[in-house]
Amino acid sequence: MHVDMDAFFASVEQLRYPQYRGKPVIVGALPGRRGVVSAASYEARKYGVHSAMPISTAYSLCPKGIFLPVDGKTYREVSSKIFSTLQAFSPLVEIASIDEAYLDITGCPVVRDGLHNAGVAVKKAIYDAVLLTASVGIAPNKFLAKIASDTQKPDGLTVVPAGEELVFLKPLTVEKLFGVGKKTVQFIHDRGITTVGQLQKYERDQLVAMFGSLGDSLYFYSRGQDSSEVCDEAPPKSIGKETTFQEYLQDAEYLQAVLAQLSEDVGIRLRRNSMYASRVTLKIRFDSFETITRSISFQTPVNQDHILYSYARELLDAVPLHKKVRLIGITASNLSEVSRQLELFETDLINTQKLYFSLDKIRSRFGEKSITLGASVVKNKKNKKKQDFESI
Amino acid sequence: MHCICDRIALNEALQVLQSIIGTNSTLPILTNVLMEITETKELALTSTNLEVGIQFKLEAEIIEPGICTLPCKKMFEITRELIGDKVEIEISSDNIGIIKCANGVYRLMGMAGDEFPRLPRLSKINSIKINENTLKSLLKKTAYAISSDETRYVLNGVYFIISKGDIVVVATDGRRLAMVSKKEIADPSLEVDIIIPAKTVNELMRVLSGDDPIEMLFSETQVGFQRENMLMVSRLIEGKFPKYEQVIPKSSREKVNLDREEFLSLVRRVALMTNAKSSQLRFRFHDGCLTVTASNPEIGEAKDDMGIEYKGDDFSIAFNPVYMQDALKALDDEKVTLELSEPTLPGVIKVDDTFTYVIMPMKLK
Repeated sequence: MHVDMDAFFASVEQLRYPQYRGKPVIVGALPGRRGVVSAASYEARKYGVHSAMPISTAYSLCPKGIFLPVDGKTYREVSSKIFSTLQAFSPLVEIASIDEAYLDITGCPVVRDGLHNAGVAVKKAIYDAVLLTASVGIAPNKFLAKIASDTQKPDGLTVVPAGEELVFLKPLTVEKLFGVGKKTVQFIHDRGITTVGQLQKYERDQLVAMFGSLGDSLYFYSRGQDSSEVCDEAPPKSIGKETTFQEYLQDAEYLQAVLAQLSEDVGIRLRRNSMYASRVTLKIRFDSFETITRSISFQTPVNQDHILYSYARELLDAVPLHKKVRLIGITASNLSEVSRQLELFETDLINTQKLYFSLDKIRSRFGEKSITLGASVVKNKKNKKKQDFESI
Repeated sequence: MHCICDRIALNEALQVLQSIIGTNSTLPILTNVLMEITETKELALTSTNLEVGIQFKLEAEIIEPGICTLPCKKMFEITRELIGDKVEIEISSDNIGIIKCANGVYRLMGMAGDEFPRLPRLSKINSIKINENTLKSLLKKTAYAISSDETRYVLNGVYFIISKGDIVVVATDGRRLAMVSKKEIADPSLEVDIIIPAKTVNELMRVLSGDDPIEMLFSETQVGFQRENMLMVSRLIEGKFPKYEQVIPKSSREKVNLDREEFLSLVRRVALMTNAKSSQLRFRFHDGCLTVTASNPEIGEAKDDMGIEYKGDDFSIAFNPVYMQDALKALDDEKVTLELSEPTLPGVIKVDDTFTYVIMPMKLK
């Protein structure tokens, strides 16, 4: 079962301020400032406003909208009430984000009266607890359940019984397949395929021949097959950190220092999770909002600040800084636990392992900034202006 | 430009030419093939991805010399599907290619030829002649070990050495290393050590066949491969290849002779119980028997064995099955020798003194 709260942030605000009910509410940055839409109420969505849209665009689409700042604390409180409500229905609740969760309801008492009634019961329990509506999808696996919850929104309930996967997916467009990105969709469209039904006609071999390794996934997606389990605590898929600058800058040295600080933060979190990364992604957003990402993959997984920084720095050096930068971020991905494979050539990784063990000890005692990479020190003090926003 | 040439020969050349063309080229003209007719009776076809370039010279009936570029892939597809032995190619003054064959007429948008980057001229050249199959075998036995990790660019190719008349080819990705040698084949005074990029090696393996000799040309920064009607020129990877001799064990505690196919089949079977996340096979050598096991929490377990001549201590070591299979698949010998010392020291697969494959173990679970 997939439970997805409807326009969560906006709905919470409408609940809190009854005068905003039935009106276009847009939560996010405030107009005139920089930032994006975090959530838009269904009334606002009628104007074409959607999340992740720059706030200025939202304002021009819907000037009469009610613009509210993000109140993370309140949303988290409501969210945790919802999740504890859900936990009454199943021992296995996977919290996917602040406003959505997966429940493994296999064999749980709630399914005694049929799947549809189970959905009704969960929706009612959420409404009783927080007075908000949710859209629910029930299906034999997580992948289908997520698509199902999305088909009737808001306040929807969609059940896909086992055996009806193909029929359910058939009329949907390929865009609806969760996990298939925009570029892939374009790629599929280029082959004259627009619906999942068309994909279903192909054999696995044919899809692999057409789309390479992606064909395999498409084969299973189009047939609604997914073997991922509902797990209470999913290990992180990536660890990243980014900083938005209050005053945009073009100063390469300053950016390098910030990047080193971000690398340290990511390194600390990787080691805390006993994870190693085989890929580093650099993200830069210019004042024009043009956002670029550059990635580098490597064979030997790493979790040490200076190595993460050297990869990120290599990526940064290759980016022409022709415009002012408003945001810089680094993400470590392709995470794995410790590699058991031994290396042929002596690397200095083993020696520095001890170093980082000590560094982390010092940091946990005296604070994360107590000992840092030389590269993360901002050399030109007058560049350090107002506090920049950091976000994970 | 206007000529008539053999369709099959043209198509075969275009197939090789288009195989090196990159997909996301920043220079659009590089998706084209350069077609050139000078005063000789030849049609020269060139393609390049700036790392490796190939030129074919085809016999043709020349009606008018000239130069132009046409989309390589489309040319390949058209010449593949056409019916008829001879194909006529004429380029109009606005760079449109008119291709005629039997009753078919195809007009293809081209671009002027002057902008097309020419193959570099190989200057200050040393060269050797080597049988195509011999070269192919040397590359095939090493190429799979090339690293695809772009951060270790010196490993993104094969290290090709000529010294004292012998050729040695080495490739490694830092976890396994393949080395193959061919003795007394070159001029003893010739000294070469270069790193040939993976892309070039792969193209070359595709092209090489038969027992005819191919000429390898060595210049300071390029390597060329010349045969009858084809020249391939590749840039070299600059940098220093790691000191590979140091990681080849000088001695070993145990030596086991194995039937290659039987061993490969065993590894392949048990490896079915591994995946990318957990790919470790445990090899246990004990009295007259090699037992291979795999255990993966997500898939299941497997245990299988083969009879071997082994009288040493009960000994277990773990390897990545992919590394083990790569070498065994690339060989064609009946027997291989596996040399082992400690669970944390490299294992070595050997065939005579011509092939050496060093493979680092994994920490046992």
